[in-house]
Amino acid sequence: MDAAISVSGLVKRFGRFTALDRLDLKVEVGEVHGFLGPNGSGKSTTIRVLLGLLRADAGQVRVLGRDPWRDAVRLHRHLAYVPGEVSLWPNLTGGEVIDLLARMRGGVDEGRRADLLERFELDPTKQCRSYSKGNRQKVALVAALSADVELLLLDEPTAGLDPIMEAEFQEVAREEVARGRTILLSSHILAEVESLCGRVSIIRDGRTVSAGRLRDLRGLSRTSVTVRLQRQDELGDVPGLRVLDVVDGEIRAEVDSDRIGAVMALFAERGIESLVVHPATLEELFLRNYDDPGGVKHGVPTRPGLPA
Amino acid sequence: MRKTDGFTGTGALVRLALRRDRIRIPVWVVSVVGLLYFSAASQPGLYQTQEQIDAYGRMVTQSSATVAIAGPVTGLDSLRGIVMYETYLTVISAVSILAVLMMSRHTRAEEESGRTELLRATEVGRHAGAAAALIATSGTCLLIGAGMALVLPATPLTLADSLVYGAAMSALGIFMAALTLCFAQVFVHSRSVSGAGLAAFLVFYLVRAIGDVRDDATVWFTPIGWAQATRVPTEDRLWPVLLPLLGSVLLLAVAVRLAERRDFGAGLLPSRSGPARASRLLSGPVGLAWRQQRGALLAWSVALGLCGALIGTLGTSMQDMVRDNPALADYLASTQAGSVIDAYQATFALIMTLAIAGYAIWAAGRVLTEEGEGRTELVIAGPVGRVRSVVSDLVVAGGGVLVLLVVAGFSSGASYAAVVGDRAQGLRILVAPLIYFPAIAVLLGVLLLAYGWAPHWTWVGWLVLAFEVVIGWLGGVLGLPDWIYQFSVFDRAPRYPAEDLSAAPLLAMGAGAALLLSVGLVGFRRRDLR
Ligand SMILES: Nc1ncnc2c1ncn2[C@@H]1O[C@H](COP(=O)(O)OP(=O)(O)O)[C@@H](O)[C@H]1O
Ligand SMILES: [Mg+2]
Repeated sequence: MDAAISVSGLVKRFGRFTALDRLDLKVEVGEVHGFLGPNGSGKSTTIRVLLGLLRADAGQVRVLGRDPWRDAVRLHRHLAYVPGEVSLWPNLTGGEVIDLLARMRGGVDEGRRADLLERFELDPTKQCRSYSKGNRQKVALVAALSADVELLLLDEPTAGLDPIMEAEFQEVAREEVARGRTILLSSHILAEVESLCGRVSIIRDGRTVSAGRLRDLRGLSRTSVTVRLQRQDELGDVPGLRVLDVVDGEIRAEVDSDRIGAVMALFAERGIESLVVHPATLEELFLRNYDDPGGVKHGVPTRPGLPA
Repeated sequence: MRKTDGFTGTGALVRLALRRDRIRIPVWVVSVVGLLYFSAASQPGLYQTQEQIDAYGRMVTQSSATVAIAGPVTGLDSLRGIVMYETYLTVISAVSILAVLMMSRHTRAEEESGRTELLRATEVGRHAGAAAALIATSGTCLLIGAGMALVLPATPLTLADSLVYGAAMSALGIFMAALTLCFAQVFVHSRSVSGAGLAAFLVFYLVRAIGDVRDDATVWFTPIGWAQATRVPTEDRLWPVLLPLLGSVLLLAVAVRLAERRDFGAGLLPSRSGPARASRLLSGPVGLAWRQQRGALLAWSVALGLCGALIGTLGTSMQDMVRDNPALADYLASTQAGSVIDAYQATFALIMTLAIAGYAIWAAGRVLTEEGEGRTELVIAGPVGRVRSVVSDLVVAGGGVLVLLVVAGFSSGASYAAVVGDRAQGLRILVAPLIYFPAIAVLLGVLLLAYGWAPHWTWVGWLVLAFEVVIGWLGGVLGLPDWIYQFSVFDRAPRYPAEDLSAAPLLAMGAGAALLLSVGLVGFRRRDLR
């Protein structure tokens, strides 16, 4: 089957400024694809090109087998979108906006709508002007997720949500994929993408710098660890563990994610006094792999040996 | 907390307001003062002999219609009186509208956008934003007053006339600004604030019109009456200028009280909850546009209905006057085509229609703000084409225009027929505003053309409207050269009932509008969404 989204060599200029510079992106049917990049790297611009809201200056863009610029209306019947900045009609209630957007897409799935409202704890009788950013985002999410579509384009959908709601969102997203839907999820937070996405594309300055299965991306799959042990002797050369420094008995290290169990067992044997673990951030990833930002600009190759 | 804490940071905010409006303020001041100057300076050419001046005075004095429109009669035995009479209406409207729009822009619009929040988190007091807006707006009104005092002595008006005239207009503007400030505490949306301010102005104007026609104390209940109580040029009284200033102080006290009672970002009324489900009507772009425009349409219908009724009933005094004064009838017949009544009604149809054109541009302009706010994106990301989305807005705006044209025609026609008992004439009056529909469509076409191809240029729509207002409303007064009229769309429509109906220009306008709209739509299909 054809890819849900395939973009190659996409260029988008705003006047003299090149926002997207030969960007590539491929999303297979039925996957949650993480679309990662720092602020201003061109994620929203790409998504708006995928929707046919912006016109590509060069490159091939196919979404569900269609050209989004030419065929926008028919394409939109099969996809739903949550913008990064959700702006709603201040004098309509959240419930009215959800109904309006759903009806324009062909109808409301009543059961799904009620279920989502409950799970996101959203009061549909409030006027949109009184919603917080997170609640406006929930309105857009409920409208998009209750639609009967093949593809969901979500632009940093959890930016305004609290951690509980974020977990709820991930749960719902998993259900969607289980039902055969495809999701493109943009984010600038690696951890968020990590738990949901099988494959990711990482962009910077409008170019794809890395794409593939998350666990294959070497730098990505490392976890940062700060640990204080009772006995520090003979830690020695542990496979998958790279010690960065030791200050006052506190060890800062990186662990390959597939070795984390073994390393933890090793720590436990020596008695853990304190332990902080966090996944590598996008920033760390860039620092580690592409130390020279100028180099990135002029073309860091997509990592060799990765399934594209 | 010290009393003055609330005003900390006012100075910085005044500078910010002036920086933001560094183009707008000079444009307003220069265009108001300039228009006034040219209109005042053109009068000596129009009325060269004392006889002509007296004829003008007779005509005005005996017609309650003109008194209702342009105010009380003072000193019409001289050119100075004529200048005042011809310019009062323009300056009063311009200054009031300026004050309302500028205040709403710098108070509630800022609060609504969230920018005030950014500022209020710094060392800026609760009332500083309002104080800064008021200072900037009052300053602009004072500039206009000063400009008037500076240039008007070069026209038939004396220095004393000019000073008092300028002072009265500045004071009126300051009063309207203070009133708008109160509205900004009550309403949550800047559009409601400016709408309430403009509605208040219309009410003040109507009250003044009634007071002037009845020639009684009613005029003291409106700030426009206070301004005209200065009696320029016969008496040049300065003390009535104190009334709006005192009124402003009172309004300011009210505004401060209200502001201390409400939360940031909120109005005085708690925000209500609404329906959890959308009504059947709200199912697509047309329903959405209707939902956004219905409130304004209702308000406009009521206002136009009242104006129309007033205009219709005043038609009788016009008729009485002509019956009693054959000389005047001859005079009017020589200046206008058709009967006096027809000319009177045709003029009012044009004036009301120009106001409705303002509604048209405002309503269609909604498309633009929606795109800027990122809401068009939500609609178009669904299976709604760009063309359908824009056309829905235009259809609802155009439908609103039709409704208003009918309301204007019906209220003036029916009230005329009821008062005078002349059904046939009532029917003709009813039709008159509708004839301008194609002309309004052309204006919408210009707006959409800009929207489709150069969305930053949509102010051209307002510019064209301003041109039409100057030509249609004030053209005769200003004595503009004939060739200018060629560029006016409204001038090409037959001035029914004064002129006969002819289909050709209307069809041509309709075709022109259709062409502009289509080209605009083609442009919108081709461009990036902002
Ligand atoms: N309409 C526009 N005009 C000019 N520049 C733009 C426009 N939209 C986006 N950009 C620029 O393009 C770049 C990418 O923006 P965006 O796609 O919003 O980034 P992201 O969503 O990854 O944070 C930014 O530098 C931004 O300033
Ligand atoms: Mg973005």
